[in-house]
Amino acid sequence: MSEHSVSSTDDFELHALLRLLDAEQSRADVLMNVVIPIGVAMAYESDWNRLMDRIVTDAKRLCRADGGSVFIVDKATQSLKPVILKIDSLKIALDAFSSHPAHQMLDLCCGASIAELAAKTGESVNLPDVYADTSGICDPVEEFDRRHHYCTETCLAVPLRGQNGHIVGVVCLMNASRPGDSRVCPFEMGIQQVIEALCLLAAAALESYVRQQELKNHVRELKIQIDESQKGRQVSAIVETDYFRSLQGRARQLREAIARD
Amino acid sequence: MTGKRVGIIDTDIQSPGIHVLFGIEEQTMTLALNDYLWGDCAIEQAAYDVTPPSVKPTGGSIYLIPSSIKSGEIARVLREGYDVSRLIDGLRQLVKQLRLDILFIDTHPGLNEETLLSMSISDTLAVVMRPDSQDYQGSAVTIELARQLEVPRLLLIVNKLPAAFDAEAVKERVVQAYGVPVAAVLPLHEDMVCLASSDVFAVRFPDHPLTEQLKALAQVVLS
Repeated sequence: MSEHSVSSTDDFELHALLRLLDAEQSRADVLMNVVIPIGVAMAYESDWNRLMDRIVTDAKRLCRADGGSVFIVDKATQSLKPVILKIDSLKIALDAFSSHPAHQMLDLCCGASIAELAAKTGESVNLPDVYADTSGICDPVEEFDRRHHYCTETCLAVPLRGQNGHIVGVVCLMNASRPGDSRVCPFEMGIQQVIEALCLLAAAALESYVRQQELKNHVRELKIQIDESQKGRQVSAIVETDYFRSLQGRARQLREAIARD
Repeated sequence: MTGKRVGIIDTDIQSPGIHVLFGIEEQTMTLALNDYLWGDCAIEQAAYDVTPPSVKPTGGSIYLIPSSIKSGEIARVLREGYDVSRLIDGLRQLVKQLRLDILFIDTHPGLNEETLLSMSISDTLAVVMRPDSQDYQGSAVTIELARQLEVPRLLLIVNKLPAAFDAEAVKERVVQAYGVPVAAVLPLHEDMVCLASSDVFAVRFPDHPLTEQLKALAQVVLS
């Protein structure tokens, strides 16, 4: 009896270990086969709108989330600006590049408080039950739900951390689900780590894009400023000297002499 | 430029530098432009054959007339000055004695007597400009003075352009701003920076894309 009991415990632990190994293996596979190729594709994206769409779409796909949004830190004001929101079941696809009525702009900002917390702490915010949160950061989400007869049950906000560790944006995801099961589930630790890995690559792509754009803008703004009145004064100060006048004469003579030779 | 007899003279007496590219050091520089200007030697005696071995089979030669890098001699120039007009005679003698096809005169970056003199006797003035606000005004003044000195041909070379910049757009803007043809827009290349003036770039990297651009520039200058 005792031997049988020990054997059962061993089997249980072994199976638990195997499940853990399977989970680790599939996470490694996802990182290798899905996340890294997505990151590479992001790095080559040359269109800002497509890059934003790719970040939110790929992040959603990885955790089977119904909704997702991206917020970017505005360098000038150091505040988060919403750039894109997609919610599949509501057929909502909004971006900050197009003009929208006021209520849609409000929708675009619905995850802002959660994103701000992630940006402020630099840590992912994982809410397994949005309506159980009492801190107030979910209020705009709940208002959004009421407007659209929707229910945001779970939420994950992951900061986009740039090369020097500073936050360049936040990715927010809503209502994850498991493969083969349409019911909403929390964002599990394993999937959170995968999304965090994706966000690292997304932040690198974002910074690279911004850097390139800044350089390109610099070319467009490359203004060769010549102060004509200052130039006039500087030239006059030289050409009105006896030295310059004699040099002009000598240069002319020299060129004539060379031409004759 | 292949097969030509080329002279390079460093008239930046206050802060000479071209000798570094050709590996000439203080110990090996027995005579310099300074010695000629003070009447201590003929100008061709201060010329060093710096033709790289890879250039010799083409029949071309490169002669360098460096300015002295001895601090005492630089200080003497600053203190006593020299007869600048002697430089004109020296340049003409140099072309004749060394049978030069081309003589490049490297001047002080700012405007001084040698620079103006060099401009006045040149067939072509190539102003090298970085895409930097510090260079815009000075280049405009130099070009205007060159026009007043009736230099037959003016060219602008934009140098050290960061790779992400659109070279064509920059070229257009420069032509528009100065009304002078742009002979080349040369990128700021890491290989050039790493070379750190320890060699002639085209000799060290004969197949480099930048070398191709330098060859194209040479063609424009010669055309």
